[in-house]
Amino acid sequence: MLEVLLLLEIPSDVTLHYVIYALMTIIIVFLFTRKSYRPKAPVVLTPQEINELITTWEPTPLICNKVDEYQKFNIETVPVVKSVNKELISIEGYDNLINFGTSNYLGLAQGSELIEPSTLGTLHATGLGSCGPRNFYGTLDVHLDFESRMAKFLNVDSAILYSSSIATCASVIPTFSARGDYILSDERVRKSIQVGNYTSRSNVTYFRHNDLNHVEELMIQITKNIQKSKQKEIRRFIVVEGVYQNYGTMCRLREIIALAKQYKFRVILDDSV
Amino acid sequence: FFSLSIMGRINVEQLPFFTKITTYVPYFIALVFSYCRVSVTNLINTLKGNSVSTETKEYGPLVKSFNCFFEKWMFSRIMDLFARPITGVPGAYIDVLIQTGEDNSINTRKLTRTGEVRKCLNLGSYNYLGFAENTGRCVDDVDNTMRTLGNSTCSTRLEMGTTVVHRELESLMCEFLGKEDCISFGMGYATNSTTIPVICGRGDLIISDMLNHASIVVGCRSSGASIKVFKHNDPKHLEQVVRKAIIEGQPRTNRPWKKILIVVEGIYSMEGEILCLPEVVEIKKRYNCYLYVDEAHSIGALGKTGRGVCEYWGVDTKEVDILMGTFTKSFSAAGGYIASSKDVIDTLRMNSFASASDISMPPPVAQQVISSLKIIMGKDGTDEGQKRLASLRRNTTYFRTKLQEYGFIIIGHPDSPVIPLMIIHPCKMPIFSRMCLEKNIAVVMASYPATEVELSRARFCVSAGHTIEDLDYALEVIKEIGDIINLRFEQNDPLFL
Repeated sequence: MLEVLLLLEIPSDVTLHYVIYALMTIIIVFLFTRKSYRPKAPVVLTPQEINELITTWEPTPLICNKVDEYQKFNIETVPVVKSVNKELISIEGYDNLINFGTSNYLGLAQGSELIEPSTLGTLHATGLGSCGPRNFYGTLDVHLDFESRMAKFLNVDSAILYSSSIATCASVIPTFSARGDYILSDERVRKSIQVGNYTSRSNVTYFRHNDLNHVEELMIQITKNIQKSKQKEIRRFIVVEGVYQNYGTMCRLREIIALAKQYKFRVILDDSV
Repeated sequence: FFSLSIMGRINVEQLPFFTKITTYVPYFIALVFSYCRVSVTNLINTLKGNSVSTETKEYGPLVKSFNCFFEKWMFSRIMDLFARPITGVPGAYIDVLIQTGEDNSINTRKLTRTGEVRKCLNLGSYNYLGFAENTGRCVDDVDNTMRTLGNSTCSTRLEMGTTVVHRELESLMCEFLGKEDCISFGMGYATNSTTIPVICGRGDLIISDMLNHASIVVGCRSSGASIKVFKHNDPKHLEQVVRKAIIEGQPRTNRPWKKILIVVEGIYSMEGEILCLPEVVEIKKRYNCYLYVDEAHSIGALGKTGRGVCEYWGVDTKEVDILMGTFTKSFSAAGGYIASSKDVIDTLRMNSFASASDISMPPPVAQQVISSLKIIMGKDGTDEGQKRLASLRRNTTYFRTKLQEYGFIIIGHPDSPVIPLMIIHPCKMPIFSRMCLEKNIAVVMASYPATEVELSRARFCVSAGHTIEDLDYALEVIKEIGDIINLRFEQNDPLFL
């Protein structure tokens, strides 16, 4: 820079001073034109006011909407099962009724000659409880055996076992889908999938039940959104159920998989019913 | 260190500077190496031609975020410490199936069983009263129930899933705890995460302990209420938080809160500390809040007759609004319960997600709880319950005092059956676990991300089924290992004072 100034035949040190003075004047004038910053004075309450606030605060009761008479009647007259004998069930007050009420489709829950010896055998070999989570000595060889057999049965790479049916969906969906991802879900999915969608904090959209045009519309919209925002590594999921538990209808799986392949969505299928 | 261990708690700020530096350096080295491995692997893949698969490019990566990198590349070095498969009964002795990595190296992500079955002393399972057995009265009762009622009810509680076994279980738990009504669920995690949303909603405030379990955190977040956190087991800070909340009200609108719920745990499983219940109850009464206590580890293990943390401190159970617990730890079954007043339980029966749409607890599991509960209460006519409780207390005191005598850093309350041993350095952790396994002792290690980065620990869970000889053998082995890897400290060690 000094060489440039020499070439221009201007005394270098004087110019430098003037440049700095000019910059400082501009900055000072600029600051004068801004509004002054006065932080809000914190509100300081006197001890009497604090005391009054604390003593006069009254909480609402622990349960605001108590159950009404009809619901109480429902709770009290729930049928209590005394014993089960293959397809017959005995409840308190009535004996040996034909069981049309439980979802025991293959009849394996009780009295089956195929199942009972092995379940009783495992009970007498390992006791009932596993006494620990999977990471801390709660993994029995029975669990691992089941997982490998299930994977072979369904013709997939591997399987994982959860202890409760509602915990499965509510745990799996938040594992893969995070904030910023997109989830498309049928409006008639069951509660545990809705809980999973909510907990994952992704952008969730519910499409009309089995309406493939709506699905395609939403997929096109989501793809456009992602291209516009130019974010990288956004995942897209579509969550459906095989047979919808609350309505009894089936999902149109072939078409949904074709659409998912076209628009690059990953499919999560809940096949419990 | 003596003052640290008497106080029962250890904070990161109390560690000496040298210890902190030596703790961070291994993590840093492992991180650098893992990054190198990732880059080289990606480079080789690109050169070979199978670059980042088309699936990942088009659909987006299936998993992302640091936790996955940590698990895949750094955690794989210590993968054999966790998820060790077992066989047989997880009682006082446990049969561990030994695993190795491919080509006998641990540093891989695939572990295969060698086929060797080793009988180890079990200091890792939650078996406080020793009910994990495959012979005895409990198992016979469960056998009968399995034959009459089947393996599963296949129905929800409000349809056809309530059996005589469930009714008996709930009335027994009410009697045991001294509450009006009780409801049971099939899974302990689901109990917390589906109950709190029913009780609290928008406009409420939940004040929960800093180190609460994940199920409570999930339940609080999905309820929609505001959440505030207080310092772990610190009643003074809790009082400050409550006062501030009542004075300031809801954020931005400053309207008063509809109600305030304090959520705490009976025994904290990673720290071994017992909740200071009398102070919390006093705060609750003074400021008109509601209290929810999660007794997952303390039911059956604390108190003269096993009635939990309320009996231990002499607090009436009517002072606590909602008592929650699980049957996994002391009763060797599965599932959870909530005990409270009749209104609360009726609302939960109708509105709770886990009771209205989830299959009810399997009848054999409920029968196991009933049988073990009867033994604990003394209703079977013997004094076996009292003997088990006394044995648990004796084992806890013996193990704790001996370990402290030998110079290990033990944290937690002197009466809690969960005994964490601080192994602050991350490299000592796999050595401790593997050497214990060679000497036939099965222990549980806890490190990041379950605890803080600097405070890795080994956690022992004593059981009523252990004899003094078992504990003596364990103490000998732990003392030997402590000498080798320098875990024992003298009272006047300059490194720790």
